[in-house]
Amino acid sequence: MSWSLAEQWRASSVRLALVYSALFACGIFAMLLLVYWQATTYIDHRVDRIVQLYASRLREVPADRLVAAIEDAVAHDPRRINYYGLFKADRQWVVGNLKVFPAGLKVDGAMAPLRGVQASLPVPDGEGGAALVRAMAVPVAQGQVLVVGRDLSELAEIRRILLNGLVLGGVSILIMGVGCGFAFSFKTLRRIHAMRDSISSIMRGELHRRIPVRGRHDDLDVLAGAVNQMLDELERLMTEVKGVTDTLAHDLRTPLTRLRLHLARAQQTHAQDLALAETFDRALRDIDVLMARFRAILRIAEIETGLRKQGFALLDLRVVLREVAELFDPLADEKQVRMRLDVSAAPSVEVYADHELMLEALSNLVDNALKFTPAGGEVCLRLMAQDQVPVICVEDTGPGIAPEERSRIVQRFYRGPHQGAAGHGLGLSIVQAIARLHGFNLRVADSAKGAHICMDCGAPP
Amino acid sequence: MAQVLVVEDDLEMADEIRCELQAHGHQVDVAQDGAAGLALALTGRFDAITLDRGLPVLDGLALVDAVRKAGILTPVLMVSAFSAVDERIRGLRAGGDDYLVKPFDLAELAARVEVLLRRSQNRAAVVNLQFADLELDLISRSVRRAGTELVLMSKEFQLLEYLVRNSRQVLTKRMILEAVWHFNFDPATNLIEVHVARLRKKIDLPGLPPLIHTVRGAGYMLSDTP
Repeated sequence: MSWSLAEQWRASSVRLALVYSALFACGIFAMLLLVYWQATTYIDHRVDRIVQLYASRLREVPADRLVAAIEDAVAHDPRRINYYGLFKADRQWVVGNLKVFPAGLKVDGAMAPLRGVQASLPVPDGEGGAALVRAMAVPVAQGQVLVVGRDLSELAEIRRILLNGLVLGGVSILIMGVGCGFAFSFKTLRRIHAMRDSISSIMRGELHRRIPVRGRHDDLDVLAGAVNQMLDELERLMTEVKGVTDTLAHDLRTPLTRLRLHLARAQQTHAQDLALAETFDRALRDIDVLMARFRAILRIAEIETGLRKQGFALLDLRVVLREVAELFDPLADEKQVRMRLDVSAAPSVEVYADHELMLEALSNLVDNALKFTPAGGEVCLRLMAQDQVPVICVEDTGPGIAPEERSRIVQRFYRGPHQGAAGHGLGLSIVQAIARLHGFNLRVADSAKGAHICMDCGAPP
Repeated sequence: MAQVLVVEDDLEMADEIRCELQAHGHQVDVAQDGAAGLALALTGRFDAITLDRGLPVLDGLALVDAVRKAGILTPVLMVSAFSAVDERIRGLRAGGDDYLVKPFDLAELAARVEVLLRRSQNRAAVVNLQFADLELDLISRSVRRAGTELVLMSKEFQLLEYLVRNSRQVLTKRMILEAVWHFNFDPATNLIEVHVARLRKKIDLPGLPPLIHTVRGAGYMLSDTP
């Protein structure tokens, strides 16, 4: 069993799984984003508070011990993430690891970002460095300015890790979701294919087949169970209809046979009375027509019940066409109609069909064609291939079929305007029933002259 | 004169069949249900049996099956209201030799009984068939009439073979269609007539007595007496 990726993509379970995994991934993204935002905000606040705390502690130190306190603070920062700088009123460095007053930093005690600051290195001019620092400047005694800052590189690292987690997590969840969707849909699709196979064979007439049920009581099982119940009921009805048909056939055939026997016997007895013999003759002819029509109707019913699948086998259509052409050749001869067989356009055409039913269908079509073709005309029995589907066409040079009649002619029990009393007049209905049984399509093709009746012998879906 | 057993539950029908077969010079016994029919059939004294498919007490299929299991090979013509092909196959598989669907013509039934009677007499495999001045070689598929080689097409040869094998017997169109073309359906037209006419043109050459005769209202017969 195999099916294409496109088919898998169309499967509802795959799409459902994709939608679910997309929604799930969105949720995870949103959650990670929230965590990220909360964490970074918290860290930012904490850094600001720490810097403010250090600054206020240093401001409380008496002016004569400030330089020592700053040197002490620098010395006690092993990670080197804190910046201290004491500057004179003209921004000249006094003490601390920050040796240049950051350009643009206002002396108002507000936190501000500084770029490009490196510990133990002079600050270039707030630009160019990789490190990110938040700092504040406050005035201290004697017009001096104290700058306290903290390196945010660590925070940036945490941000990066969070962001990576966000992207990697989201993507892997999305991939996992799609994978699971395909895996689940594979199983579901396999079941659906098994169901479709069963339904196809039921449609081909194996009415006893049922849709497989797993016994898990899932939604597919429930559906299959319901369809199976429907099939049970359908099969019962079909059998009943067949029973009724058989009974009808039996109940009507015996009296009809008797009637015909009586008439024939009476005709023999009164053979001398010419007028009476003529009446008997007419009565017998009528009863024969009645019987033929009756047989045809029963035959259509028999074919339509689809119980005739046992006779199906691989059949070479060219052979069937040849047989039909051979069978009707003398009849065409007698009617002075040329009978042509053209199978050249189809190299090798085998279809799964009932040999006798195909003969019957084609015989009916050819018989009709001969009936409507005047002497000197031609009936062509053609086999060709259209889109790799074998097509049988019976083409004549008779009066043809009016366009408005064309669709009706293949309807059930259609009787055309030219139907006389001869024959049962149900030939096309039989052909249609046979075509339907095989899953073939009977149609009237467009033609400039004469009738072209075609049967597309494609395999049933 | 042959002995024919008619198993038929419909009295009137049984009567008609009896009259028709008697008119053909046969002695006829009638049984009206399956059990009586089986008892008679098992005596083995009949040359042919016509057997209705749907019978009270014992169904026609069961009857023919029981007869065959008893080792009695009397040819059986099944008569049935069931025309479905699977019914025909079941009837023939159960041991019937021929299958006739109602409604039928008495002449058809009689013709089929005749063929069955003949078949039971002549089962030997042959390579040559001869009738009057007609010779058929079944191996080389060649035909000669009064010493002249005739050219026949394959189906024409089969038709002639069937006629010769059942010469001096009425063969209905339906029988011909079944035997030669293996068709079990109604072709609406006079197909068989034209096939026989074509064969007749080749066989009954001018100056020679005609062999293929039309039996009005019944069918055809190969005969050397007019």
